Amino acid sequence: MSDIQKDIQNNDSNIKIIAFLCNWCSYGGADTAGTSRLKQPSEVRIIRIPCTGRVNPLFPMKAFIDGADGVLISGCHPNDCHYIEGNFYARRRLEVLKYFIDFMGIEKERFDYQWVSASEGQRWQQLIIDFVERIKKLGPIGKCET
Amino acid sequence: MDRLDILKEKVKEILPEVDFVIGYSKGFDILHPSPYFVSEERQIRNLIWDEFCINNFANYLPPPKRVPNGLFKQDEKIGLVVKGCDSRSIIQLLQEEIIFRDTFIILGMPCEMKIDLKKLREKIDIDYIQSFNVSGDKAEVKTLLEKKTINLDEILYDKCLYCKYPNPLIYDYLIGDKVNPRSREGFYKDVDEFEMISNEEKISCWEKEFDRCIRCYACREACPNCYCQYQCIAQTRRPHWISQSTETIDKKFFQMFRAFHNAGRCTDCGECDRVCPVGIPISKIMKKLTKEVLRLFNYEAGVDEKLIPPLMTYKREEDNIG
Repeated sequence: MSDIQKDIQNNDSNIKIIAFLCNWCSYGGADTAGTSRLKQPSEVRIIRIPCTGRVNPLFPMKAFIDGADGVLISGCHPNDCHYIEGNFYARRRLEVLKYFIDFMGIEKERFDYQWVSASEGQRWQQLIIDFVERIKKLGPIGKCET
Repeated sequence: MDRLDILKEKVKEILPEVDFVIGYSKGFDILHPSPYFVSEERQIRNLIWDEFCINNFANYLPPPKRVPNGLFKQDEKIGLVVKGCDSRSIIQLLQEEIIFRDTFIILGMPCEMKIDLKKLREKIDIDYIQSFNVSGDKAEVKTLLEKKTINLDEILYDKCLYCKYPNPLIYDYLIGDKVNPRSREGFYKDVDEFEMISNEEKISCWEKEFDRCIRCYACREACPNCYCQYQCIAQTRRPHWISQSTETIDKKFFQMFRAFHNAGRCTDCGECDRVCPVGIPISKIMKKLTKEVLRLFNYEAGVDEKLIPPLMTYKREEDNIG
């Protein structure tokens, strides 16, 4: 049995994390982490999007409402966007969203947005491990929370 | 001359230019004035102006809201009676280029205060109201059963207590003299307090509030910024964002996305709060968003027509985002 399969079997946490990754940077970064055989937590479900500017703030909101315990959005570093300006718009929206969901009863620690480029496999691994740790500490999202 | 007389004269003056003027007239009792469409000169005498004229007429402007009910013709010109807070809604709509300045005439009414019926109802049983007179900072209320003197500060709308823009920011004719603005300090008090409580309390509080929601969509219909009409994702099946059920979670999601669609656009006119039949404090959610937008982007919606709403633009180096 491979390490990953073992991991999944031994994994008794029932935490689900949705990660929206931009096709050009962060998805490549996660791919780099994979090809260089860096272990990643199995709680993360990755959704590939063309650009963080494509993220309608309703995506993370809907994910929380449907029972995700954490949402991570990641894209190119500012000034590196494939579409020039997508992540600048995203940065503004997601910053407002972060404080807004906290007000509505979803802790803002459950939500994060980060910038990871395609070469930063190591950084991606560290970031996702930290994020999963953080969500595990918070525990599953409360039922009425969603 | 009294403000109402000047208004009547002005309406008479502009009536030939426009198809009709929207103002306030007497409703079923003195506390509930209703919108009134003046299209003929003889109707002008029915216009009123008092502490209860609260409807935001900016809501009549967005074309998507007019077309389905067939009340309005295309390219007609209308006149509007507009308070300070309503004028901000109009500026917001102008910024979004959903309405055009040459299609309406604004009769700007500087506005001292408006009475919150929900607050008044807590003080006195208003079902049998007979008279309501303001003198100084007190109000004398007379009903069939009792007579009471109430401090005005206790029954004003929150937005009026901290009104920064009592005079219309955009108008063609200003009716009467300008009034003094009040201090904004303390406007976000209830939001600050709510932020301080623990997450569990927040959840149970919203649970309690949204449990009452009957999904009548009155908040959406009364909001001048909500003009999606049949494309509103609360009702579309494709994309199917939200179920039509009355589960608390769906009702909460509905309010969340409605609020977020108004992020950076909401002018705190408080109509959603006023029309809610079950008394959900929707404007508290809206206030949170305006507070965040003010903190992050130093922007107030509907104040300057030339500015771009903050979520429609960006800066390479943000000032307040780390």
